[in-house]
Amino acid sequence: MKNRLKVLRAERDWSQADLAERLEVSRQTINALETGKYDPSLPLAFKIARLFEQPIEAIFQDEA
Amino acid sequence: MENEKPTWPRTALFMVGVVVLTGLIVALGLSHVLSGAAMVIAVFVWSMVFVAYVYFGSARIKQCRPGPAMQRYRRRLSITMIIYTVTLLGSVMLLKHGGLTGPLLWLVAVAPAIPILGVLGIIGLYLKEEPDEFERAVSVEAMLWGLATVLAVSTVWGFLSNAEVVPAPPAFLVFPLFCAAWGASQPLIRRRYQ
Repeated sequence: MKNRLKVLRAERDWSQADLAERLEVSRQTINALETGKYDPSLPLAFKIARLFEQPIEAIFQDEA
Repeated sequence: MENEKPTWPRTALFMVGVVVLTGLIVALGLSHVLSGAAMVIAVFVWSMVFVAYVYFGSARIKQCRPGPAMQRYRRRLSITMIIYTVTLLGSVMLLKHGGLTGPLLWLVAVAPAIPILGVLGIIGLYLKEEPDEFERAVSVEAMLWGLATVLAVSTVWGFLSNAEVVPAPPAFLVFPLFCAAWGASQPLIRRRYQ
């Protein structure tokens, strides 16, 4: 699933490690999310949305 | 990570550990305390796979500080594997000595399996405690690869031994095989997500 995580992270000048720490996941998890190869669960997606203060649909785009 | 401690002391310690452990196992094998090559191989495979996995594999694969759940898992695993090694050596020596009968024989024979059952519990506990869903998903997928390897090898071996082409498969090696395949598949699974 495509997402704007990398852009949102860059806007805040955070490294992958910074974002990982804020979301309480590993840096590898951030990497897998950003490449769109791993889709987060609903709880993690909501956590990401809360952190960036945007609705989930503004961060993740359904390709279907 | 830039602020990580240098890894060479750990590497040196690991190398010393490998040499000492290998020497110990070979010495026990040569002095016939351990019966048969299979037993020596079993102890060797166990020790190497677990020492390597606990101290190297997962840290290098993750390339970052392991989370508290992983740290707890490693600590529990290390302790259990030490207990396993001591129990296995004790059990083999007592069995070799002979003279055991009845329930005591059963108890001594099954003793090394108990820490291994503990390892199963420790793995389950890790999956329960790991808060990172991606890490959990990778672990579970790797376990399925481990399971598939064990099923494949034991099925092929089983049919071959049925026809008496090869000797019967040593069942106690099933779990180390599972662990080896589990560990080996992790970096490959992670590569897919990069």
